[in-house]
Amino acid sequence: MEWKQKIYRQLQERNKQERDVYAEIVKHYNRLIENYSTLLIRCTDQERDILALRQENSDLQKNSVSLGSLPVNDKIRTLEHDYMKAKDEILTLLRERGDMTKEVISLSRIVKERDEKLYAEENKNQTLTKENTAVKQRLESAEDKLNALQRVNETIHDEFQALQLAYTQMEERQKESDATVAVLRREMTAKIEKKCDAYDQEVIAHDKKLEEDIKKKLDEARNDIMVTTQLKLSSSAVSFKSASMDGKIHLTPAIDSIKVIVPTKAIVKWDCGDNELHAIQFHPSGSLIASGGSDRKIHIWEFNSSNYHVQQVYTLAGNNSTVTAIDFDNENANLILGCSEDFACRVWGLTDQRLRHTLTGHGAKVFCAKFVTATLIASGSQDRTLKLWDLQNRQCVRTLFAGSKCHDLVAHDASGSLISGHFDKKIRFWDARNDSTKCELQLQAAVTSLSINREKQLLLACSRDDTLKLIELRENRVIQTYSHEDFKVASDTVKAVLSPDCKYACAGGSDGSVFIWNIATGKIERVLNKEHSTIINAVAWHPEGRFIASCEKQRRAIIWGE
Amino acid sequence: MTSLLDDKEITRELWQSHLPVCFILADEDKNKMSRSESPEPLYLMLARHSYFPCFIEKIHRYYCNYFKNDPNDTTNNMNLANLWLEYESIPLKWHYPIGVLYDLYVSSLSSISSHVPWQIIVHLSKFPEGEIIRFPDKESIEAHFMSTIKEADALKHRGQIIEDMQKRDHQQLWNSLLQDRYDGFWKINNKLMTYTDNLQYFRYIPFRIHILDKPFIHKLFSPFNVEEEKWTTLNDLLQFTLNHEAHCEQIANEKKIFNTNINDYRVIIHGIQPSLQSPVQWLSEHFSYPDNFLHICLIEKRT
Repeated sequence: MEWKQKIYRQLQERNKQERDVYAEIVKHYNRLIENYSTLLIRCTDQERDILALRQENSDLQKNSVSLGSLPVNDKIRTLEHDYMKAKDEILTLLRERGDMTKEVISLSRIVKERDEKLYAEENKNQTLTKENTAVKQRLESAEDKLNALQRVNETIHDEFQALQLAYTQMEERQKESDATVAVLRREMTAKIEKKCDAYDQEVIAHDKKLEEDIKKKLDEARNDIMVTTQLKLSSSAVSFKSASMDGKIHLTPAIDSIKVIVPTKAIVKWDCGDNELHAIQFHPSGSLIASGGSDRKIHIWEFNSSNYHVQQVYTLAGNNSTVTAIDFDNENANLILGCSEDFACRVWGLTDQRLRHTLTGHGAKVFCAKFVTATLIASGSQDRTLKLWDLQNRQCVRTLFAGSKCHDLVAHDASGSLISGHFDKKIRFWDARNDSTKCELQLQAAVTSLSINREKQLLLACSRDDTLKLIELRENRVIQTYSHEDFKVASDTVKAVLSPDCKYACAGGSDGSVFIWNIATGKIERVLNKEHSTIINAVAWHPEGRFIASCEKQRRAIIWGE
Repeated sequence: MTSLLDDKEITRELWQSHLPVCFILADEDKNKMSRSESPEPLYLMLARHSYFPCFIEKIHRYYCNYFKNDPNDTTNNMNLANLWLEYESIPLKWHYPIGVLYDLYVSSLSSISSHVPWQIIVHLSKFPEGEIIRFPDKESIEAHFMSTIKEADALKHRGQIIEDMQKRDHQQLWNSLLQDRYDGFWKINNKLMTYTDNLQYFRYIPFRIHILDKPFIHKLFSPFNVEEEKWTTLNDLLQFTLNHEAHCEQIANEKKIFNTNINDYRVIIHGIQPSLQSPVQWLSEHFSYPDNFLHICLIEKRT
């Protein structure tokens, strides 16, 4: 360890030499150096300060030199003057500033107002633009609609034109067809006229032929009579031929041989039948009288006008109930028609007294029946219908629904047009072609009977209001009314008749009097009473006009004459 | 016990060794002064185990005060990078500890009798590019210091201990060196003085032998002679090193200038001449420089 000690000692020695001696010295030296440097710095700073101060001093001295030339009072005055000026300037500047601020405030206010206005204008503008767009849209839609409507209109117009064309075409066609129809109608009427003319010609020919036959026979007879005697001429001058049962023809008297006399007294009275009499009728020749009543038979009486003698010829039976009306045919067929309350009409032949036809079909009492032609019969009944019967076919060809009980009817012409009087106060005119009424005439009361003149121009209707009415058939108008204080219509089937020359009307009353009126004057001509005791049901005028036959309820029939 | 105490005392004495240094501005730089006065020389007490770059800033700041008029003027080249130190016209190397430089140059070159204070000339211009490198910053010196320690540890323990140390221990070594903290330094340094590999000594001794005008010599030398079972001494180390060096010289066909006689040299470590019988192990542990190297200066005795 010696080396260690040696080392340690050597170290200590070294340190003493190197460090210890110089450490302090170096320290102090360094401190001195620092002090010196700081002093240097301070010295330089102070020198700088001195320089600056010297400079300031020199400046100040310069200034003070320049100022020092003026006396002190003047200096103060100038200073004061400057000061006042400065103060004034300050005041004016402050005032200006105040004005400026006021202006600024007012300007800002104006600006705000303008802004508000602008804002409002913008809003308005916006709403207006919106409205504008809305209106434009509506306009567009309206235009579209208009276009569509125009198109539709055009199409409709086109269609209309087409239809118009079609219509004109149709019109032309219709005109053509009308023309053809008119032509056809004209042809048809011409044909009908031709047919009628042909018929008329036929009839005329037939008449002519008959006349020729008669003439021939007359000539033969004349020749015979001239051969035998001349006396028998006078007796047969009045009537051509008397009724005979062997089928000789009864002729209707010619018109110019009619001479109507108002009868004055009863010539013949006889009882016919067992019960009430409802119907009485002259044969067109005037020599036969048919009567029917509740004994269900039709009695045929022969009337001798020379000796006023009535004799029963025969009786037609076959009815099952009361006979209500009798009619003879006008065409020399020698048929007699009787309708009864057994709902049927019967046709007998006069020559053979044989029941020819029985016409059934009505649903109630048949009140009236008339020959329209020799083959056509019209009947009216309580079942409110009228029926037309064809005797050739033996069937009902037409049924007319009248709506009310038909009390009486007359045939207007040969084609089948009828006039019927009804319970409902109406007279109905029936058309031949169709089943409807041509015309209706209203009266005040139920119509009980109708009677038509030979020329078919005047119609006599007897109604329940105790009057007779004369109806003109051209205008279907009531011309005259006939009544009498004693004339009472007792039942629904009281008959009134016109005279053959249509000058007088005759009807029977309820007290048994026969009243005769003058057609022209309308006054009563005669009242034939005291003979009948009960209701006169029917009256009939002799075809030549000289006699009136009346039958009363109580079996009595009276012929009145001169 | 007393040996331990002595060891601690010795290392403490070593740590507290300072050298007075006088820095004088070079003449040619004096002429560039703006002020009329020439700067006073700067006296500093520098630690032997420290390095010059640690104080460069202080030196530079001192001299900058005298150049107040144009501090940023680069035409004068008065910046830190151009500062270099010179002694007896030898530029001083940065990377040697101050003590080593002093021992090496002053003892051999001093023409005047007094060695202290060490008068160094400060140059602020004309940097000798070829001879020394430019002034490195403190980080370079730190890196150099740490690499030297690692080298020493590699020789001593195959580098195990320095590897195991953390970075903050390295930084504490350097900072303690900078801030002159003996306890902080030796707390870490003690770890580097431990033994490894079940040996009672270091594997090899980290040492450098400095001879004037020659690069330093370092060889592998074991502190313990295994064959003879005795501690190797400083004498043994020197003898071995010199012989080996001469041998190398011979091999290189160089002229044998090398004097292998130890007695012709003065052996200086830390400014003292320790006994040649001192065990190398102890020297390495307690007498190394802070960079763990044993810097031995051989000064030729003048006859």
